[in-house]
Amino acid sequence: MPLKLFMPALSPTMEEGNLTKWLIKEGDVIKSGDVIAEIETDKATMEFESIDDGVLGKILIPSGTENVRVNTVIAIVLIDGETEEDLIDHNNDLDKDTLETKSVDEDIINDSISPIDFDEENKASNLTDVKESKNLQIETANIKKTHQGKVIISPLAKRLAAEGNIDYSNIIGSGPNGRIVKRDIESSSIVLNNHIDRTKSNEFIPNNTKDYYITGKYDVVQLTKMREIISNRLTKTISEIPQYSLNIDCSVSNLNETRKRINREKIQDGVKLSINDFIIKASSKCLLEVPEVNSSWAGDCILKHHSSDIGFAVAVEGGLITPIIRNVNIKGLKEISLESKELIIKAKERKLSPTEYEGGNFSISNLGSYGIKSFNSIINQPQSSILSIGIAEDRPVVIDGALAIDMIMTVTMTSDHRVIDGAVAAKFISYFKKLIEDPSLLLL
Amino acid sequence: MKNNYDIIIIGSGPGGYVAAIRSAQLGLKTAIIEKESLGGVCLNWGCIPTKSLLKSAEVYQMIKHADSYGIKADNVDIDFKKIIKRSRSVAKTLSDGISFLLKKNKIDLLIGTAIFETKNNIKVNNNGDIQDITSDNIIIATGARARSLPNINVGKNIWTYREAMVPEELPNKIAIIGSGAIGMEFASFYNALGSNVSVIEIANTILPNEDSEISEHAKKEFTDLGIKFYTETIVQEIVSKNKKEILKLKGKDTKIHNIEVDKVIVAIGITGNIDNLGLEEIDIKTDKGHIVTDEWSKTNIKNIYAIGDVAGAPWLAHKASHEAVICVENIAGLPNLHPLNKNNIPGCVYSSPQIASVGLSEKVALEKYKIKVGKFPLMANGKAQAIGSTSGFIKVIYEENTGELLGAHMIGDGVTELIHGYTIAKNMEGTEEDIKTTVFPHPTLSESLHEAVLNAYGISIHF
Repeated sequence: MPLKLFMPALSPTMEEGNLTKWLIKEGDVIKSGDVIAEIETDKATMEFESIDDGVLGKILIPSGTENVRVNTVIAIVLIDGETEEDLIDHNNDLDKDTLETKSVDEDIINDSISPIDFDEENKASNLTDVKESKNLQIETANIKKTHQGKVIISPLAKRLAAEGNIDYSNIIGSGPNGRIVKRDIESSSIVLNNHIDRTKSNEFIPNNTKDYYITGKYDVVQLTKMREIISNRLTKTISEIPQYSLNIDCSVSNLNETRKRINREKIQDGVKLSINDFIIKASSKCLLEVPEVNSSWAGDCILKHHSSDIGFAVAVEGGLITPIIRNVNIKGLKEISLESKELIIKAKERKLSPTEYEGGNFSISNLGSYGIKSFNSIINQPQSSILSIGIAEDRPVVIDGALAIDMIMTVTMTSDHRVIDGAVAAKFISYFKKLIEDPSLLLL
Repeated sequence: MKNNYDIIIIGSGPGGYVAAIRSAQLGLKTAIIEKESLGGVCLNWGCIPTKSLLKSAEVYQMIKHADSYGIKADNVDIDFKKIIKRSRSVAKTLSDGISFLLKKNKIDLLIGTAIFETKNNIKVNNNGDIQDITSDNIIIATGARARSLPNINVGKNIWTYREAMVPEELPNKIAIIGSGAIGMEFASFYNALGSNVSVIEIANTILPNEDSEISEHAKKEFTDLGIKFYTETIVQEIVSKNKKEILKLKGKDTKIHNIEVDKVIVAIGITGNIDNLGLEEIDIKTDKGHIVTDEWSKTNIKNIYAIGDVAGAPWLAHKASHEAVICVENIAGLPNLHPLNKNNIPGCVYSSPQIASVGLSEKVALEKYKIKVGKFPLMANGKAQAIGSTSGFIKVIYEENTGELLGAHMIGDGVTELIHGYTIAKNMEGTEEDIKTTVFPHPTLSESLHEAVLNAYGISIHF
C-alpha cells in the first residue's frame, strides 16, 4: 500500500511549521536519506529526509504552505513498483478511514454540543486528507458534510472546557482520530488567553491595544513564530513561577588578569578565552557545589539533574535563542570556548539543531556589552535558575577601609522559589563570586 | 547479515510475545528469545493455570450448594490430581497457541538464555549451543518471579505460587503469607476444596492495595467462608517439625503465636528477573530489583527498552501487553503515540468472591479531588437474586465538578467481567452523563454499574 508521508515534528515542542519548499517533484524516485523538502520551524529551517525508498506519488501540501500541523499527511509515496492505480485505491482508503472516524465520533459526541465551525487555519489533519482527496477527483461531498461543523472532543474534555470557560474550537486534539482529550485542554495555551479575558479590568489586554491608538499612526508587524513562542513561554513563566532575584558584586580583576595571561600564550587552535567562558565554567562548578540548584519543578515532584547542561542566551534577528553546552562539568575552558563560539555562529545563522537548544538545566544571560550594570532575567522554564551578567567595569570600592578602584561585575540570580529557597540560591551565588574572584579554584 | 534483526525481544510472556507480533506486523525483522516455555509466567505459571484451578473450586462449591437451587447431588468429591492436570493442559494449549502465532508472523524464536555481550549484541545459549545476534533495538521482557523473605527458605513444604500450582495432594492445613491478589486466589482455591487456610498479612487490612471498603467486605466474606486472617502480623520464623511447619507469628501485641500447618505459600510480591542477563556489563540502571524505564519503556541505554513486570508496577499481564505495543510502535516511529496511562489499567482478583478495580481508591481520590461516591449492593440487582450471587457491591468515585470517573471498585461473583465497562468509559473520558444515558441489558449484573453511577448523583432507582 502506498505510504503516507507525515509532516514531521523536528523538535519536541514543534506543533506546526512551514513547508517552505519541495526539493523533488511527483514521479521522482526517492531513497531513504534523500533530502526531499525544507521545513521551517519556529527556530530554524531544517531539511526533511525520507526514511523510505519509493516514488513520490502525490504532493498533498504544496511548497510555500504555512502553518502545517505536525502529522498532517503531506505526500503519498509509492513503494515496490506501485502505480497510479494504487494511489487511487489508497485515496479510497483514506476516505474509508474518515468515514469510520465519523461513526465513532458521532457516537461519542453528546447531542447537546452546538456545532462549531472549524477555523480554516486550524482544521485537524484528517480534514486535510479529505480536502486533498477531492483534488484527486474522489467523491467526498458526503464526508465533508458529516465532518464539518463538528469538533471531536471527549465528554470529559468538553466538561473541563466549559468549567474553565475555554474555547476549544481551535485546539488540535491528541487523542484517537484527533479527538480533543483532557490533556489537550489542560495543556492548552488557550487557558492563558482565557485567563487574560477574565481580568477585564485591565484595559491594555492585547486585543484592545489597536483600539487604543489611532489607526494609521502605526505600522502593524505580524508576529513571527519565534516572537509568538517567546511571548507564550515568558507569559506562562512569569505567571506560573514564584521567582525572586539575588545580586552580588564580583571583583573580576584577578579573572581578567588570568584570562589575559592565558590568551597571551597563543593556545592551539587560536582559542581566545572570554569572560563568558569563565562564567560558564564557574556556573557548572557551582551546580556541583549546590546541586539543589540543578533541578526542575515537575508539578508533583522535583527533578534533580545529573549533568550540568548550561544554556547561554544569544540575540538573533527577530528574537533570541539559548544554545546549550552539555556536561560542562567535564569540559575545560578551551573546550567550552570553542563550543560556545561555534554555537553562537550557528545560532546567528539559525542553523542550530534541536539537540543544540532543547533541554538544559541552567541559563546565563549577559548584557554587559551594552553597558548594562545589572538586570534580572526571566527563568527559562522548566529550568529553575538563570544568571544575569552585567558589565565588568572599574568602580570605586572600599578595600581595607580605604577607597580604591577595582573592576566589578554585578551578577543577578533569578530563581524558582518552588524549588530553590533563598538561602540555597545565596549559597550558590556567593560560591560563584568566590570562583570568579579567585579563578585558580576553577582548576579543582 | 543473517543474524541481524530490527528488534530483539528477550522473554515471551504477555509483554514479549505481543511485542514480537506487533513488531512483525510493522514489517520489522524480529527475534524473540525464550529460555523456558512460550507465554512466560502468565500462561504457564500464573494468570491462566490459576484460573483453571479456581474454576474447579467454583464448580465444586456450586455442586455442594446445589441443594439451594433444587438440585440433589450427594457424595460429591474432588479428584485433586485431575484438577491439577486440567490446569496444566489448559496452559499447554495456550502455550502451543503462542508457538503458532510466532510462526504465522514469521518471528524467529530462539530457545536459550540471553546475555548482553554489548549494547547491540545478545548471546543466546541453548545448553552450550551458542548463537550471537545483533540489533539496534532490544526489548527486555523477562518478567518477574516470587519475592522471598530473608528468614524463610522455599523448600518442600514452603512454596511460592509455582509449587502451589502443582501439588501432589491437597494439604490439610495451609498458611499463606501475603494477602495480595496471588495470596487471596490461592487462599480461595484451597479453602474451597477443603483445606484449612490461614492468611498472614503485615498491613492492617487484607488486599491492602484495594479500596478500604472492598478490603473490609472481602475480609468479612472470606472469614465467613472459613479463612482465618492474621493482620498486622509478621512471620518471625518457620520451624520444621515432624513434616509439619510451625510459624511463629508476631502480631500487634508483640506476643508470639504459633500455628502449625502442612504447607506454607509465600506470596509477598515479586521481583524482576534482572539477573544473569549481563545488564551490569552494559550499565543498565536498575532499582529495587527492577529495570528503571521512562514512560516510553526506555532504559537509560539508548535503544534498549524494558516492558512488563521487569520494568515495575503494576505487575499485570495486560499492562505488559500494552506497554509492548506502545514500545514497538514508538521504535517504528509511528505518529500520534501516547504513553500508557497507568490510571486506566484495571486490576482483578479471581478469588471467590471476585474483586475488580480501576483508577483511584476513595482514600487516594480524596487527597486530590472533591468527589462524589456512588454504591450499589448486588443484593438489589435482579439477576444477582436469580442466580444466587447477592453478596458484594459496586462503588464508583467521580470528580464532583467535571464528572471525571476517578475510580471504580467492585466485589462479588463475576465482577472481573464487569470492570471493563467502567474502563472503557474512563479511557474514553466519559463522564457520569455517558453512563447514565447508556442502556444496560436487563436482567444482568451489569445493570449494577448503571445503578452505582445513579447512586453517586442521588438518583438510584433500585436502591
